[in-house]
Amino acid sequence: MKKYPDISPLFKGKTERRRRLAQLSFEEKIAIVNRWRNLTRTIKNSGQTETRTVSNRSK
Amino acid sequence: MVKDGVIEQYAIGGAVAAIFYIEPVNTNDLDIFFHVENPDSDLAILAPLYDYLSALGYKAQAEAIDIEGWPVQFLPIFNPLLEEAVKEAREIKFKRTKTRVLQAEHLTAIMLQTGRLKDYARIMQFAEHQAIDHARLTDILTRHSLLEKWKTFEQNYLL
Repeated sequence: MKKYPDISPLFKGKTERRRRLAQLSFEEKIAIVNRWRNLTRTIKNSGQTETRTVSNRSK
Repeated sequence: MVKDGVIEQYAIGGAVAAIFYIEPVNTNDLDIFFHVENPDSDLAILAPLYDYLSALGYKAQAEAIDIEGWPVQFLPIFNPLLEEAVKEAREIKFKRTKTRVLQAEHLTAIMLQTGRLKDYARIMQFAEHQAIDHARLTDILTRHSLLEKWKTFEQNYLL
């Protein structure tokens, strides 16, 4: 039978991290969400630039 | 807005309210539930609110208003559960500003009532983080005829 690595410590770590995040103050949590939103915006915008570049090239 | 009489009472709901109780989750907008006295039967009740905010320089963005980079959606209270939830919202401080956020048990009942998959997933997060006072939740669910729905949800996802 094929053996796979035991990754349960990784899941345990994830759970622990989520618990720590939940205990942050509301301000700290909103700051995290703001960082995600900015990151999402950056990724989206770079995607749009890419799309424009590709569509320009195809013209 | 409350001081200026544009809205009467309000509370933050949706994902941003959930973040108060659980880990941060990614969200695109901020939901504000609000109460107005003698509401019109249609969405014309949003007009004074939009007028007020546009006078302050904030612009409408689809069904929301962009306030300091956050699309804020103002939702008039549309059922008894929401009415109670806004009335009993807890007052919190965000930085130096006082604001109101729906209580975890009301949020749970609202998510159960709304019943989308993302609502169910969030209820599970509430359960995981032990954010719910079960006696209080049972009381709310009973009063708003949601107890049966909760039992089914609990059986399917929490037990």
